[in-house]
Amino acid sequence: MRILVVEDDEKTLHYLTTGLEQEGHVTDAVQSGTDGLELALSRSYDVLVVDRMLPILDGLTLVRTLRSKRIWTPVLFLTSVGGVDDRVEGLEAGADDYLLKPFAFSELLARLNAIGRRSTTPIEQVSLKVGDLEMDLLRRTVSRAGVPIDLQPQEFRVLEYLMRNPGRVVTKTMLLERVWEFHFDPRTNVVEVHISRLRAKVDKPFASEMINTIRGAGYLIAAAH
Amino acid sequence: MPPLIENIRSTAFKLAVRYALFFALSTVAIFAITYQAAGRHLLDMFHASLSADTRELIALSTREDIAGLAEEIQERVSQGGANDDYYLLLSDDGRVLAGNLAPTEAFLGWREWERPIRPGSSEKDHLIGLGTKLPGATMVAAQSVIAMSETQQVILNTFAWGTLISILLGLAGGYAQSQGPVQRLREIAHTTRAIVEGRFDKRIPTGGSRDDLDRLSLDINRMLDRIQDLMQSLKQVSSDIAHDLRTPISRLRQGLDALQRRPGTVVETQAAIEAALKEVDIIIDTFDALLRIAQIEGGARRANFRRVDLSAILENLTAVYASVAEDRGHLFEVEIEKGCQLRGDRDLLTQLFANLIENALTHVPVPSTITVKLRRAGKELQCIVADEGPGIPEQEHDKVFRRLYRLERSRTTPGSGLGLSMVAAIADLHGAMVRLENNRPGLIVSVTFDGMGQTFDSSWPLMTIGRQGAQLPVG
Repeated sequence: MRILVVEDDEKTLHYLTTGLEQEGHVTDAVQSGTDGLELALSRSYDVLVVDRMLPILDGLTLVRTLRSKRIWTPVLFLTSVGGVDDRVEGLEAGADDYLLKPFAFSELLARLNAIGRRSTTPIEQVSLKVGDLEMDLLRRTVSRAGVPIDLQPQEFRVLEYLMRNPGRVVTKTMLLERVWEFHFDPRTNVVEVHISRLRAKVDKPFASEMINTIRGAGYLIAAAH
Repeated sequence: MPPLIENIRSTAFKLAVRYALFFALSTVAIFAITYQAAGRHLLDMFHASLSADTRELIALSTREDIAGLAEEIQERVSQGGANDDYYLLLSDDGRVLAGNLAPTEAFLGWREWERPIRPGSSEKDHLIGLGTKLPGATMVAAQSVIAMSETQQVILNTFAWGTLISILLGLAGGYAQSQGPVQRLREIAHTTRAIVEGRFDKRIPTGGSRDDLDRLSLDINRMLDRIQDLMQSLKQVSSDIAHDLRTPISRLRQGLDALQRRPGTVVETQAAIEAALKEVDIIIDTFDALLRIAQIEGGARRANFRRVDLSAILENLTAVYASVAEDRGHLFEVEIEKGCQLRGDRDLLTQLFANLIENALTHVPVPSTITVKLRRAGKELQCIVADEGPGIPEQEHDKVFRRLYRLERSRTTPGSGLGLSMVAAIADLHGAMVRLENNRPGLIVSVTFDGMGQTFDSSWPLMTIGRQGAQLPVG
């Protein structure tokens, strides 16, 4: 993906661009909001990574300006200002996702992949298909290789989110936030419990595994091979 | 400051002076009114007496004749001698028939005038008189009112001295009175100065008098107690933070140090880095929790309150956690009344009940029944999370409700130690009451929202509900 990174702290900027380039992305890096706005307006990017606190032109204003000029490039906010208020404010300004510093790089990658692709995904879908795993969103049924799988509502929701992001890493935090609207870090292994239940139904009865654990990052669903 | 000047500058003395002046002013006002009234009364008396006298003499003149009247007047004048009565009977052709006034002093009606006491004397007498026309003559009856002026002079003098004495007494009394308060205020000043210098245990000495200064002193002492409590808990929090963060930070340092001194295989290095990242995550989590609690306690989030369905929140939570409970071998009982709504913050309410459910899940030995209930009770929404675990000894229930209080045994339990602190902060924000009860065995945590969310909008008083805020030892 072609990514514009707007971040005033030089070390963080370097950390971000090298990390993203190692992952095969192409990056442009600027340290001020005005430069960021100029580039975002003049060039085409798949996704923008914007620090919220920038000198002169802050991240919020940058995103608002972009949106007012009808530029819908997905934006991920980075911030050291914690708290749900700031998250809500950022999302309302037009950002697509929000990440609190310090963060794990895998979390950033997973989120960029999720929002960078979102714009091309059709919104109205009635079914999802990954390999031989099929999900009917209207009848709320799941089957693998034609064999119906009976899922609890919570298990269905987790699987739906995984299947909406096939071949991409989905982090624990993403699952918590997107599936259950938990904006905090649970102390119990609530995500693991649901994943292991899903595996017991989706993977175990079949020859191959589709739900993969990516160590230190999250989970990934892909066609078995 | 010398004591005399200190006393004179004291509020009590200034008050006394003000009162003395006020008193003097009112004395002057009373004097003015009395002086006026006395003067008018005396004048009325002169008028009455002269009118009566004139009537009597007219009656006499009609009974006898002018000569008889002249005889009577002459008799009165000669009898009176030094008396202050004056008469004049002047015939129409200008002859003085009787009396001790000059013919030039004849007039009709009422008149006041001055004349020398004796012919040629510079001392003046002040007269008031009534002139009447009789057949063939004019009669004037007059009296000296010098006596009246003298009476008024006496009144004036009396009041002047009285006022002077009362002002002096007021000042002296004020000075004497100010001694007590000045001494008391000096003590208060001493105490506050001592506290500024860092002796926080100093308190203002109080007598049993229950007067205003005593009550003020008691209030100040209570305030100082509260401040000392707050400082104590602040100190406690700082040392908690230091303790909670020092442990993971030193573990992190040790790990990195060991890695630097003898680098191992790639696998070992990976494991060491993973362990280091885990420690860093713990540190970040603790920071985040502290920051969030501070934010929530700040109360600014009330601006984002919306109508939320508590039933839906709890249904979502219990659906998610039912699997966790089942996996661990707990029984999970849920009774949620539908459609319980209130004004609040959805995310925070989710976190509040998630924390309570997670506490039960983490700290209760298997197998146990964990119960989550939500019901309407009149205007209130009552929610309980109950378990059958070790609970909290009843005598410690009060203590754990004190904000920022931590039991010593909580130091060894896992977690950031801030989970229930968060619960208390969120409940406070929503004007909810958090109570602990004994489940015999186990713990019941009940959260009661008041008035279906109608009564607690942005104006909810934080202080009154702050008492219910609690941090439990688990968490």
